[in-house]
Amino acid sequence: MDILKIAAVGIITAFCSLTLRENKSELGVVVGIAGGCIIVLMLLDYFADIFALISTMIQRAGIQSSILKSVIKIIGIGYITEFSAGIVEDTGNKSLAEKIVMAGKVIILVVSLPIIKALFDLIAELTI
Amino acid sequence: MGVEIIFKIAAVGIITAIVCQILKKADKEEVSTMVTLAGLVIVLLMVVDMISQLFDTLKNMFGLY
Repeated sequence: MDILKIAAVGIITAFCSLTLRENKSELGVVVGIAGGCIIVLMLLDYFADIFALISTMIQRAGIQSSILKSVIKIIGIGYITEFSAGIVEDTGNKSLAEKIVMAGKVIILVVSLPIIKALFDLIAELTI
Repeated sequence: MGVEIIFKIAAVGIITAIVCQILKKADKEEVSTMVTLAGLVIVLLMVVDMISQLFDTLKNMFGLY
C-alpha cells in the first residue's frame, strides 16, 4: 500500500525539517521541498493509469481528443503552479506565491481559449 | 529515490549547523558563513536535481511542451 510509504516519508520529512529549524539552519525548508518531490514522484504512476482510462472513455464517447489534451494540460499546469506556490510560501514570501498562482491562472486561461472558441462556434451554429 | 535523500540532507544540515556554532565559539565568523554556504550549495545541488527530474516527468506525463 503506497499510502503508508507516502505517510512515512511525510512524517520523516516533517521531523527532519523541525530539527533543522531548531539548529537555526535554513536547510529545514529545503528538506520540506525534497520531501514534497519524493511524494509526488511516487504518485506519478497513478496519474498514468487515470489518464489511460479517461482517454479510452473519451474516445468511446466520441468527443474530440484535442479537448482531452488541453484538459490534461490544464491539470498539469494547475498542479505545477500549486506545487511551486506551496514551496515559495514555505520559504515565507507569500506575495511571490500569489504572483505564481495568478500567472498559473492566466496560462490556464490561455490554454483553454480554443475550447471556449469551439463552444461559441457550436452555439452560433445552433442559433443560425 | 526515497527516504535516504531526506536523511542525507538532514545530516548535511545538522553538520553544517554544528560546525558553524563551533567556529562561532572560536570567533572565526567569516569561516562559519563559508561553511553554511558550502552546506547550502551541496544540498541545493541535490534538491535541484530532484526537482528537475520531477518537472521532466510531469512535462512528459501532461504533455506540457
